[in-house]
Amino acid sequence: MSTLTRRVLFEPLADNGRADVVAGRLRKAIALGVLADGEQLPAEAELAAQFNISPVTLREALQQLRDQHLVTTRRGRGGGSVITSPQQDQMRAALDEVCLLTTLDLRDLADWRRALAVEAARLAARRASRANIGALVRRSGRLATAEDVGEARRADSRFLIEVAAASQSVRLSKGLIELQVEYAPVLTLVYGDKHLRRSVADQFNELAAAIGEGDQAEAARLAAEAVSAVASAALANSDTWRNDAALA
Amino acid sequence: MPLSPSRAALAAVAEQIRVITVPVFAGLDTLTEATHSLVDTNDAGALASQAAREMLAPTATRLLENQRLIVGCGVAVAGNREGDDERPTMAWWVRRNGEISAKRHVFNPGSDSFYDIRQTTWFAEPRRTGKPVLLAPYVDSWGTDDLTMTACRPLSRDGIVVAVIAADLNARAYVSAVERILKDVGSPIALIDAEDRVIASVGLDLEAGARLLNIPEGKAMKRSPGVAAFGWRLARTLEKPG
Repeated sequence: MSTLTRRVLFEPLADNGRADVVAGRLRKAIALGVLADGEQLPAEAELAAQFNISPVTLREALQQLRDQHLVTTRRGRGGGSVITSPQQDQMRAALDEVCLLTTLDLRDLADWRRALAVEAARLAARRASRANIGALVRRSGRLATAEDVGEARRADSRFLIEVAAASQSVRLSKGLIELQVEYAPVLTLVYGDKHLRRSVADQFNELAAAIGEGDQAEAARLAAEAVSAVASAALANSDTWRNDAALA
Repeated sequence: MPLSPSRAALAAVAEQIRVITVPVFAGLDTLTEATHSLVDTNDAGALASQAAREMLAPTATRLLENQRLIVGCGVAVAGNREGDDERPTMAWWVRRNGEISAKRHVFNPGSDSFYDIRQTTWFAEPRRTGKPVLLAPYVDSWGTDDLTMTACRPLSRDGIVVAVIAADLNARAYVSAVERILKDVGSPIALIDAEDRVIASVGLDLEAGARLLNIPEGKAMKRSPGVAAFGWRLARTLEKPG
């Protein structure tokens, strides 16, 4: 049984899903770093069932990825398919994805993200355990010390997912885990800016403190601010990104 | 205004909660014994091997078949403590829609789904305290990705904790069972954990997880002595005079 992130990545395709569509989806996830180098894919039978495709189609898709040296498959007990892609240009992949989004899409994603984050923060201020608060403080630190855009993207997403866990809400957690995948290209691009990483990390740190103090209003305010900071950076840069993608 | 519950009524509640909780730890005992014999005959590191998983599988499967309240169980191995590169790993089984299967978690730190068990309370606390723990409901991100309660205990060898044996409970079923027990008291009452957070309540506007100390009414509530040996207590509002 795979994790929730994987269920989002491996969402069922419409009937007659073709191998190249499946391969394309997996390739995109690998390019963005959402599937990491060294990560093991679920067993073929399970993966095929999740994508709602036949095992034959899945095997074709995996063969395409093997031909592109993105995946290695070991047979036998304890074997499986493993991602092998240490040198992915995540910025390039992110640019390609973001260019498919209009300004309306970017705002809509940000609105949704803000709604989830604010409610999760408010509830977390009321319900967080000591373990939750410790995790929040730790995770805000990871955004500050991230060494590359991939780490920064993951640190940001996982902080908000931890806020949702602290709110004790399964639905808010699921929403933010889905967003981890959907918003990945945007976060990859905005976190090229180290100043932004530091400033959002500071906001996250204050948010962790507000949750620890049980201050619901302050927690909600800080969550909105942090999400808006990233959203504004994305909107401010989106034209540049589209130009960069077109030039390449 | 309903009468305050008698000491006898509170003791009865505590006993009923113990009754639903004790079998879980008895089940953990069987898994602990199976793991113990593996540790005795092997390197602790070998606990993570495929062969070890296959040896534990029958015990884990039986536990999942016999106790409906348990939805997942297994063993987490501490990994090599000497270097900085401590890489814990797990052998885990779940029962989902009646089917029992092995579950693989993601231990790649570079992964979006990385399940860092060193940061989870269910893994860290038994190692730290050397004692069994029962966690109040929490959202197990990257583990079950759901509301979970976990019963866990350490396994030591030569004074060092080499593994944590754990079982995930059906949190919804457990909380519902507690609510039924609390309802019989006939007056507003809550079961709270060692951090003063609500596990279940009836007759009170207090949701699961709410920290009593953050809530005006919560601070004034009277706490009873311990329930089920995990620092859990019962809490109720004080009767108004007049």
